[in-house]
Amino acid sequence: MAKKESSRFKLIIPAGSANPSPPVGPALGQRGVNIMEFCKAFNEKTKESMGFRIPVEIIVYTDKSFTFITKQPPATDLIKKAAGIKSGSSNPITTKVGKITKAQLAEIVEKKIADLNTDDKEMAAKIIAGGCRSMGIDIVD
Amino acid sequence: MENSTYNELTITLPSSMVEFVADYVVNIFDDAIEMGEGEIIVRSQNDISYVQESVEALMMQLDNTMKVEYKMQTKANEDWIGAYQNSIEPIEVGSFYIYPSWYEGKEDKINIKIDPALAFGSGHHATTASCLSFIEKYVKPQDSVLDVGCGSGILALAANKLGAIVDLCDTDPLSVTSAKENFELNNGEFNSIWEGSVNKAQKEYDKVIANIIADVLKLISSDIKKATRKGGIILLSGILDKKESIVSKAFEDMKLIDKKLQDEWVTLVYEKI
Repeated sequence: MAKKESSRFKLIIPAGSANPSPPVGPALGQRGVNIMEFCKAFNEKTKESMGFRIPVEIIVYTDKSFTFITKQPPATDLIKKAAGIKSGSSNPITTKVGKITKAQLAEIVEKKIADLNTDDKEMAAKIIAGGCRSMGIDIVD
Repeated sequence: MENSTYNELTITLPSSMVEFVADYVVNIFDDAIEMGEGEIIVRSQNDISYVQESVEALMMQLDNTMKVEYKMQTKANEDWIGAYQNSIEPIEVGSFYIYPSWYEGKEDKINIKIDPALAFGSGHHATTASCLSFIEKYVKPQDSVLDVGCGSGILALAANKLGAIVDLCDTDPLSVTSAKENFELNNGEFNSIWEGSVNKAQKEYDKVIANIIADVLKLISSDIKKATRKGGIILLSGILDKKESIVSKAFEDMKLIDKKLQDEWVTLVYEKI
């Protein structure tokens, strides 16, 4: 028997670090998700990606059972990792904080394209490159 | 003591911009955020007004005609686990009917009353549900059963309801207390329960159940095998599909007799040869 969906929502959570206090607690608690079971399952599933934030789509059914689907880390996390920096520039126009190569950009596009609203690799590359610019990261050959 | 309030910033914006702005927010905000249809919600017990200021600055740079609204609220920080516990609904797995104490049992079912506490296992997650269906299939009356990492005690309780003589253990004292309470709540009977792992087992069991996680199952694999009699059954769960090989390698000297995959979580049943 197919279960009836009662709600579906997306969170971005630091890998391996979900816990019941805000921000995760209220998001799950108000929808009746078993917070401890979610946190334990999410942390087990993502602990190898510690250091990244993981987008996760949570589907809650009318009997309060749930499933979740984890996705690739946000582009900014992948960009920071590729550039070897901890945070983006506070003023991306005047202060550049790092650079990535076109090959690294293509690698990020490959990882993220499934999560972006496009099948067009060129378009996806433009979105990611825009992300780089907003962080003060140059793209070099 | 937890803070009694938290801040919630809701940013309402065109749906096409959600992904992009969320990406920006996670770059400046270190914790989890929520994304909805045309909205992003940032919650924290700390001050998050800088998030709003930064997003406003970003939007100014992009296109200041875009309609973006910001709503900052201070909300009461409830006991979210308690709120969940109060909202829990009964669930059916095979012949088992698992329900919180404020519901009634069902006549044609094997009733298990669980007041969900912090300990893992309310039957609402795939691993617990898969275990329950295998317990129904393999556990027979008078079997000796050990539940390793018992959590709420739900699995041992299910086995006990089928007539098995059960022992339980968990390294978390909270679980031991919770399991004892749940046995009492169900007029269940356990033979013994201890704080610690399977290495403290005093005998060989007909059935050993462990719903933990893959890496721990590997770590305690030889103790699990030691605690199982020859011809006995080992029921392993809590295994993420991509980690199945860790467990199957650790138990390769046992005979795999059953397997179930539910929502990326694998449950394996072995016979000790």
